[in-house]
Amino acid sequence: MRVLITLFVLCTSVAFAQNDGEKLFRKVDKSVVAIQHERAGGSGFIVDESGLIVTNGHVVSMMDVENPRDTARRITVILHNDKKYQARVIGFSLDPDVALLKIETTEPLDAVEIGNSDKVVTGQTCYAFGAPLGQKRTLTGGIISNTARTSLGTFTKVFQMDAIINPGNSGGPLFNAKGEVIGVNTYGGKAGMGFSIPIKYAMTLKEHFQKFGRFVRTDVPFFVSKAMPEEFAKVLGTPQGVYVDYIIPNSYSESIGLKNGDVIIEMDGKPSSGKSEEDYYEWNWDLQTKVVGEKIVFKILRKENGKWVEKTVSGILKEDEPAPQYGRQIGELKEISYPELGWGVQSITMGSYFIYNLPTDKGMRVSSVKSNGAVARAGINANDVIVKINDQEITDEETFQNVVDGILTEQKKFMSISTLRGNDKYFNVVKVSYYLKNRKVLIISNGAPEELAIFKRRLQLQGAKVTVSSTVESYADGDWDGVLLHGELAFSKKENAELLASLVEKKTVLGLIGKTPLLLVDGPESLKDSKITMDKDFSPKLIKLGFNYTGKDVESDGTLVTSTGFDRKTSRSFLEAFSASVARRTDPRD
Amino acid sequence: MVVFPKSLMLLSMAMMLFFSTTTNAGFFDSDSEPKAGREYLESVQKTVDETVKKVSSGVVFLQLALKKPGRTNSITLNGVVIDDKGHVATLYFKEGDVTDVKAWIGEEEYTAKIVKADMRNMLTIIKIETSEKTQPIVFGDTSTLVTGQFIVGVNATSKNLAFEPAASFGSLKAIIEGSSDSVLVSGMNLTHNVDIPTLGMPIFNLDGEAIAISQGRSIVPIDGVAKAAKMFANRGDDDSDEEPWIGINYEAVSEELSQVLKLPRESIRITRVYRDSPASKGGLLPGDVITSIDGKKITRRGVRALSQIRKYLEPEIGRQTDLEIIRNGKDKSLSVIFDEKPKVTSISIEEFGLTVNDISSTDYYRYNLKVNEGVLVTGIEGGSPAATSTYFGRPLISRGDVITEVHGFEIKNIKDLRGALEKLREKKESAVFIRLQRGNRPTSVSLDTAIGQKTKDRKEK
Repeated sequence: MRVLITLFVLCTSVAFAQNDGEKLFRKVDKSVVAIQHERAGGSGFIVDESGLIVTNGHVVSMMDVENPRDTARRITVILHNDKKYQARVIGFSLDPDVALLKIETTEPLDAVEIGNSDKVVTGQTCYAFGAPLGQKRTLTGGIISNTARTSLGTFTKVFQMDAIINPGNSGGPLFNAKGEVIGVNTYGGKAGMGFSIPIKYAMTLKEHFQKFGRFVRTDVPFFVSKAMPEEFAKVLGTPQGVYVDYIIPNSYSESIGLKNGDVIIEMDGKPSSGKSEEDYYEWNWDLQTKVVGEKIVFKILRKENGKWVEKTVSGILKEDEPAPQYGRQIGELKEISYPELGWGVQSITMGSYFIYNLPTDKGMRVSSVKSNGAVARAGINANDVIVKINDQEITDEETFQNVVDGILTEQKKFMSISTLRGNDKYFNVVKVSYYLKNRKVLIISNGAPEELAIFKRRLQLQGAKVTVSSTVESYADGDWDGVLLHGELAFSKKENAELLASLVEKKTVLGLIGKTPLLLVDGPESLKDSKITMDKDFSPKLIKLGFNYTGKDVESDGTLVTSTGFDRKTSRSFLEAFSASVARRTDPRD
Repeated sequence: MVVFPKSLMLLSMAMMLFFSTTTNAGFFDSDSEPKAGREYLESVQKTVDETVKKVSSGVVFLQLALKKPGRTNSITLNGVVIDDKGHVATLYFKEGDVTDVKAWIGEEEYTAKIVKADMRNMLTIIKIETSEKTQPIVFGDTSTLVTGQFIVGVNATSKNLAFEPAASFGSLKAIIEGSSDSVLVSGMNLTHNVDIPTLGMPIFNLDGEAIAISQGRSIVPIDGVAKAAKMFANRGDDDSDEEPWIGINYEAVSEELSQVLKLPRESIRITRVYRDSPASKGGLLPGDVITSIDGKKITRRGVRALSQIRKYLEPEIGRQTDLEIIRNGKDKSLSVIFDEKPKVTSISIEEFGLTVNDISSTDYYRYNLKVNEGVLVTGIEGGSPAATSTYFGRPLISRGDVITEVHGFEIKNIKDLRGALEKLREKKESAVFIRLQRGNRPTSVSLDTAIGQKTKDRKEK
């Protein structure tokens, strides 16, 4: 009997071991979703039965540095049973790379069990679940290779595991053997390396998104701190707390009494440890996830007269500045771009001041320079700091944009830019070209005013004379090089046919974006030969009538420029194509 | 001396070129045409021959024995005699790569020793052992070169060719002036080979004056060699490598800049004035536009002005140079006196395993430093405390860091550092606290020292 029982136990334990992955899959399958939108896709998991879903920030972000808070327009969530739902973004962050979505369902959904990421140890089993659209839902398994990778340049530590993460698995869950979520998977590294954000951080971010719609970091601006390796603490003769490396002069942290060389041993009653990078990162996460406006109390050790004395320093928490663009991260700072000149600039934050080792924090940092553009040819490099343009001091985004817009609308020939680079001062002269000089453009619009304003501005900056109207009659008033139709225009068939026929005859460039390509139905038959694109939802009508619909974001065929106008990036590309066609336009009467 | 037959072939080729470009020079309107043409040819031939005779005792065949032989045991070059004391200038090569230099002028062999290897000016000065006076070449005026003018290349050859000078005849195809100068030639075969080494070969005008030198890939006007030869003559065999400098960076004035700032394009604009340099002492500022040097006005525009300014400047320590500048729309006169370029003396701090130096004004720009005082770290010795102490795997100290405090001692320069190290050695400190300036902010680190440690591979100081 004993033998039988032992045998039985052995068998079941073996059987259990073989079925771990299978059991887990059955348990969690219903909670893992696929996420898809126009630009990209990934995976996610349901954290609340009401339809809250966690995924990566980069899965939903438009990654548009000119509008860093933009998310993809139409995000679809696909459940395990192939049911589709439109999702709304509650909030997202790129570092930590977490986003929170909401779908509206009629029945409650199966949510995952949240595990304790603090209890994760190196060597334990883990499973990554990915559900990339178009591919099978996949479960990969491995072990946790490292619980605290801090050298990847991310805000928090991340788990490293050898469970394979493919690109479509981004945003999916990392499970422990019990089927509890311990992380949100981000990028896969090289073969055998995958990274996952500990779920603890994702859950804090979930709260932030629900409360504020974004990640609101707190800080005591500004001081630089670091961990204290054993040797360092030994030389100082203090415990391994958090070391205050540099107090930025004239900052708030200086005013509350923090000093260079202080060793923080307690923060809000909790001991501060700088024993390891992991501990330090944890401490920093703590500091940056408190509540704006609340008091913070540091207990520090300070050397006075050769002895370490304990002191208390307290202050009020402020909101941290937006993260600048760095490496492949687009950050949270807006870039003000001028494609006409081939450059973009960003404000200078303390973060960018140190990351880029800038010579000053007054002025604007050149964040991108198009090679061979007008600005590049004048000798300006990325990370130059602009201090003056045409003798006017540049202090912030507003002055920068006002000054440059002013120069371009007045069609000045030269733009003189004083910059600082390293320890040198430069004076660069940009020769400005106005590709649409003397061109006349008519915009007929009843669409979104912000987008209309952007079109008008961008055309004017290139030298065009722009007229805006909401009626089709305005066409007759002038001799146009280009006509842009924007919004949900509904002309009478006759008006439309006349307009289009006239445009085609005069070889006027015609730009249609979003729904307006539908107007082509009343145009001359010759238009059916051109390649066109438009808002996907309305395209079937045109396809049925024999139009050559390609579905691309932007199509430019001769004098016909069309676009889906799906998002801001697409609108920008559309405008570039439209401008290029207008610049090239030859009047048939010439 | 007989002209080497090969050159005759080149000569005739050049002649054909010559005839194809003549207009109606009157050669063909009378019965005496063929004769006149023939006479002309002979006169050119004679000029080339005479040029070769005139200069060949100034062109030297050099053989360098390599320390680490590769495909060959030695390389061959040409050089030119620059004075009557036996000094020969040739292309730059690394002294350490060569064990032995032999020189031949004609059939006469000489031993030679390297006197000065000047990487910046891309030449090496060699002295040949002879009691007789040597015949230097004459340097021509490169500012009067014209495109299309005829030139004669004279190559000293090897024993295999009986040391016969090889002549080539051609013309100047283009004269390129800018941030560096070069010339293009037509009608000459410049392929280097062991017996006819074109590397270092001088090129002469029809008056027998050297105007260019072949560097292999490119041919450069002889100015660099001429200037170096002159400086060398003034200083003699003084082996010092003092470099004269003014301490400015400058750029050409572009069309846009000239229009916006209302500046002449025949000028150069200063972009950087080094601290404590002759330029700063003379009162020059970034943004100043130089229009004349020692009374010589800049006449070339844009990028060519860069070449002209190099020709006008005579770098010599102690020499005063008068400048006419434009500053904020007003004309001004300034003088600067060439001084010795500050040399950077690096020392090795064994206790830390660091190579450091006092901050020089060039360091300030090169490393983009934000402090003027302190000791700059330029090297980290592998295996040393600096290399092995880490901040969780990342280096604690890097090149470009400036040490400003060591264990409570303020460090303004190497002297301070030495003083601090003395005290640390006395106290036998095995780990110290260091404050550094890194980029635009300070940071603190601790460093284990090697004080009191005797390891097998550490030499006692």
